Amino acid sequence: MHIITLTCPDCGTIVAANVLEAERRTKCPGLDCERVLAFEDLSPDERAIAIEQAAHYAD
Amino acid sequence: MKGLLLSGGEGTRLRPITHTGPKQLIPIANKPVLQYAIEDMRAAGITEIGVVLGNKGGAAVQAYLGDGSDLGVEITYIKQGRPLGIAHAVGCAREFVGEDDFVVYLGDNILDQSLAGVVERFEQGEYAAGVLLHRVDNPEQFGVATLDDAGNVVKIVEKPDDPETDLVVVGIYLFSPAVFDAIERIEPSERGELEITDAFQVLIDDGCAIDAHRAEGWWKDTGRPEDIVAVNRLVLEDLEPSLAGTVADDAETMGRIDLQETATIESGATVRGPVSIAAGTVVGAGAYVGPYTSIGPDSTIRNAHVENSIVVGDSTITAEETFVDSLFGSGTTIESGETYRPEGYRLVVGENSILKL
Repeated sequence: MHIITLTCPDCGTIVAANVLEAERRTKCPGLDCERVLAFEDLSPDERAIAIEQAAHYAD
Repeated sequence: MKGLLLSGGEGTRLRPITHTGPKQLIPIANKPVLQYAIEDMRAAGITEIGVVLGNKGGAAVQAYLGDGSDLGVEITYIKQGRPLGIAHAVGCAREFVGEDDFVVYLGDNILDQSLAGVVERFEQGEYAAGVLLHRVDNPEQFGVATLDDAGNVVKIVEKPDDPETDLVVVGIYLFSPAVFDAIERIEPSERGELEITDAFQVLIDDGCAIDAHRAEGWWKDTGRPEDIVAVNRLVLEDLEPSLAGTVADDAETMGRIDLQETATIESGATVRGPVSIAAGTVVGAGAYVGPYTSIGPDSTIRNAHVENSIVVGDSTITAEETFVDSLFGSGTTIESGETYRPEGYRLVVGENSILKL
């Protein structure tokens, strides 16, 4: 399975696409980082893959 | 070589302790489980460590580890979110790892053997991956390895119903970046997780060399309360004694004791080592603590006998009772109910608590 991540441009913290897909907008979890990371920061192809993958995981 | 410390998961088998904190911060001999992993990696020369966080407990892990400088390492945090499998956690670290080889250390695993020799051997070979193997009585709970006559790993199966061997894969792996392509080729298992054993099998089926050898000494996956208590005992076997705190003249002490500064063993107390007592804790009159017991910070033990147990911290145990093989979460109060009528236990028992009276 292709795993997509986003790296915060401010602090280097890495966030999995499934987190961004679930949260849509989230404060970067990096230490003392105030950056807001968004699902839209991923490319359209990446967003499509993340949405498709979310359907594979049962709650 | 880089390191990857997995600190996600929900710790369901360690509830209620994990209702209020991640399993990787549960203390063993007054040191969080995951700190043993970080120190092991640092001793093996690994100073760039990615810490994978789940949806629960991540803030507590970050508060404890910070940027890693206090532990002599440099930490990059990787938010995995939901527990989607070890292979998913590893896959999230692709950008962090780059083209380096790396160790994956499950943050709730403790290994007696040092990682240094394992890392050195891996780096000297042309391996796609490396595993440590250990014999267990319950292989069906782990990833089970099958070896050929030459000792090469030919199969690794996650939690098989009918294990072919009793050799299981310790929760510490070594990988070359080849594992990321293997992860691309696997799909979630029936339980909805990307299994690292499936990624291993892709590498094996591709004919990649897997370095495998038997772990020396003990290994513990601290997933259950009894595992936590057992590994506390194992670690305390090698306790370095230190009496930095205060011991009253007529307190009774024997064996190896680590008494941290500002901790006190008062008159009328008995401490039988090996025992670890953290800062701010008082072992007072009538208490019998040990052996194989760790008392966390800012706690008070009086009148009680506490043996082969862990008190996480901020607790008061003053009932005249004997407690063995026990795990007390933070903020526990156990006091005498002698003066109350009618007679009987008076308990406030949280969800998933276990009491054997």
